Amino acid sequence: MTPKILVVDDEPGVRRSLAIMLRRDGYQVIEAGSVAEAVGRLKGETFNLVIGDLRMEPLNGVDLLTLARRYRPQCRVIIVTAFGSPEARAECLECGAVDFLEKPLDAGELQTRIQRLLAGDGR
Amino acid sequence: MHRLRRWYEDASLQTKFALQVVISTKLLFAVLLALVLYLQRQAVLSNVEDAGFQLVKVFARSSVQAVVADDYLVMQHVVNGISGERRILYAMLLDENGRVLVHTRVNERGKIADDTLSTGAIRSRASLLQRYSTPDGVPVYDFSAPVYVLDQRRATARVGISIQKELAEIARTRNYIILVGVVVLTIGSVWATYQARRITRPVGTLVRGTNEIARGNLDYHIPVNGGGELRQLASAFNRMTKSVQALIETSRQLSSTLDLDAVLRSVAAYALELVKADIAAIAPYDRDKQEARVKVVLGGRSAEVGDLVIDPERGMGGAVLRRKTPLISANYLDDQSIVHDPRYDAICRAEGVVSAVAVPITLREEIVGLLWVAYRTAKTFSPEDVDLLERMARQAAIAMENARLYQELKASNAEIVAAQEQLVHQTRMAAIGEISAAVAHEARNPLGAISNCVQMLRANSTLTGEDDELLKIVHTETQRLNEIVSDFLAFGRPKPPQFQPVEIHELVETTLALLRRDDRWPTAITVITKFDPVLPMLHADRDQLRQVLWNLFLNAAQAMGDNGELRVETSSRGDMAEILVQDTGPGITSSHLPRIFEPFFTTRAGGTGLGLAIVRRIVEEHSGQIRVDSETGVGTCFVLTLPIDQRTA
Repeated sequence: MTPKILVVDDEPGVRRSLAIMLRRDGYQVIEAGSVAEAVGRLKGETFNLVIGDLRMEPLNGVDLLTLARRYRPQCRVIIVTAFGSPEARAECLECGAVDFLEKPLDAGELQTRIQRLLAGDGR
Repeated sequence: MHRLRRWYEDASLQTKFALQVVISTKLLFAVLLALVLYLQRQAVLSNVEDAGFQLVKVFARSSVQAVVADDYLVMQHVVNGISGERRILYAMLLDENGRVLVHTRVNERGKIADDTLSTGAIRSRASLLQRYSTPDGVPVYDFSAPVYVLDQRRATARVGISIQKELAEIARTRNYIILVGVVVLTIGSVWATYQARRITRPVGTLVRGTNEIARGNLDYHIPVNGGGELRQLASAFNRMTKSVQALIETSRQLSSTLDLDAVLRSVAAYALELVKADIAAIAPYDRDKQEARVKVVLGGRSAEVGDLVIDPERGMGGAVLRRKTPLISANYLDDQSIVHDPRYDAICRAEGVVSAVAVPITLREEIVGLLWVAYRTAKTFSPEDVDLLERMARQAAIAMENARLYQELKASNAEIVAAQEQLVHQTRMAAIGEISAAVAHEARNPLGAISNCVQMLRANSTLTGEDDELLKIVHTETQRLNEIVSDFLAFGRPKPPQFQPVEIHELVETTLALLRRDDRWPTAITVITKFDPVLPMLHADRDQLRQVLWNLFLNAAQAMGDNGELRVETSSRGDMAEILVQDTGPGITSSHLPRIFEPFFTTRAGGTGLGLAIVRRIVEEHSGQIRVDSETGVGTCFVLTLPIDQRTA
């Protein structure tokens, strides 16, 4: 079964390009333009992975982490951001993020990490 | 002598007092003693004399017959009868030649007595008293009387009486009196010293108190006891000390604070305390406004007295403002010498004011305020009260002046600090702007290359589907990046405006048209324009003004999101044009509102925080103004004021 990934970012350019890239890597990708939309998706279906931006309005990546854990405690979340600070990284990992990546994303690096994360999920 | 005198002068009052009492009693005693002794001696001795004369006369008469008869036996018998008394030393009869006819000492008979006493006795025609002492020191009174027989003197009778016993008695009495006198005087002296101490103790206390106070211990209270003048003196002294203390305390308190309100409050409080009044009010005089306004009222029944302006022509305060001297009114409401004002009278009636005093607070002959103190009872203010209040007013003037100067200093200091902060801020912003502009400038070249490539690729693209979309994303993001870079450049290296006549309505429409083609522009937004048809051209830099409109419109649209109403209105205000940009977005919270024009202040995730900073800078460089009004949940309204081009107007 194809692993399903939810991409959450309020910047359409970033979201679209990331989604296209992941799709080309063979994943099933669902896009959400806000945390609210993402939570709506999470309630209805299960995802193997959630990739979310840290800086979003009105709810941000940390809110996404909290809400994702409430509805899908087993769901893994990677947080990406253009403003990576050690504090933000610590906060996100504290809130249950499995990884914390800084933009711009290196395509190869991202692929390796996702593969490692989803290794047990079978494809 | 000189030393004694100096000692006396330096001696304490108590010593002097006791000394005076003791000396005067001793003197009195000495005089009395002398007088008593003299009188007693006189009395005793005159008794002796009377008795002696009587005895010698009896002796003489009894001897007459015996002398006539030359009867020695009878004579001897008479003599022996007389000498039976112990005091009688001797008795004798002498014939006219001095021959002893008979004598108490028998062996004396027949001898011729030629001593001075005998001669004196024989010569005297009447009875005679002669005083002498025997060789062994016994004082003797020698009485003699002639013995007449038929008017012929035949003999002289002599009796010697010792007055030793009487003198001893006199001495004993004298000793008794002296003894009693010494005892009495000793008791008297002790008593006098005690009394002197008792009477002078309050004086001593007073002296100690004075010393204490002179040393600066104004808390010292002289105990008021005893009576009379000393009591009055002590009370007066305590009153004086209290006044001095109050004045010192007042000036200390007054100079301890530089807060004008606190100073005024203390002045009023001390005024109340100093004269034990019921109400006190203070009105500092404003030299610029030429008015005294009541700032502090203590003891008032209502707060209404506060914030009352003193008319220089009316009431006690008015009179004092004009005359600069204190004014007392024993019965304010009925005082015809005062120009009454219904406002003041109403307040005084409500407060129950009976007597009042108004004192000017002057500094270097200039009025800096008014102090008004009043009683609710028919007590009147004494000249001392007024004097005290005036003295305190002088302290108050200094304190008020200090507070005023301090406030001025604080204000100018705050201005300097603010200016300095502003300068530091501006310098920092300029530095940040310069750095960001430098980075932006360097980023522009690679950005330009990307932009060119993307545009060429898109023009001849054979890409389809997702690939085409990716290329499109590259294009839009490049554009965005270019805008960010432009913002930094506009902020960091602002270009001076190139002024030209600008048709604002055309510019608004052009900008809106450009924005509608932008991906970030929400299509569902309604734009309403209301232009002033006769608005002249603006004196502005067209590109910069377009940037201003672009930033404001885009901000509004992004704030409103998918639907809302953007209203753009123009109107003229004299030499200026007013452009209003209003949205129906969520509004800006009041805590953010003062900061929205600050560089790098943003509430949006994707914003640089430079948009409005650039807007304000451009508007200010156009000698215009921008203001903002916002209500959360209703919307935000920016109002630009820009100059009209005078040549085309």
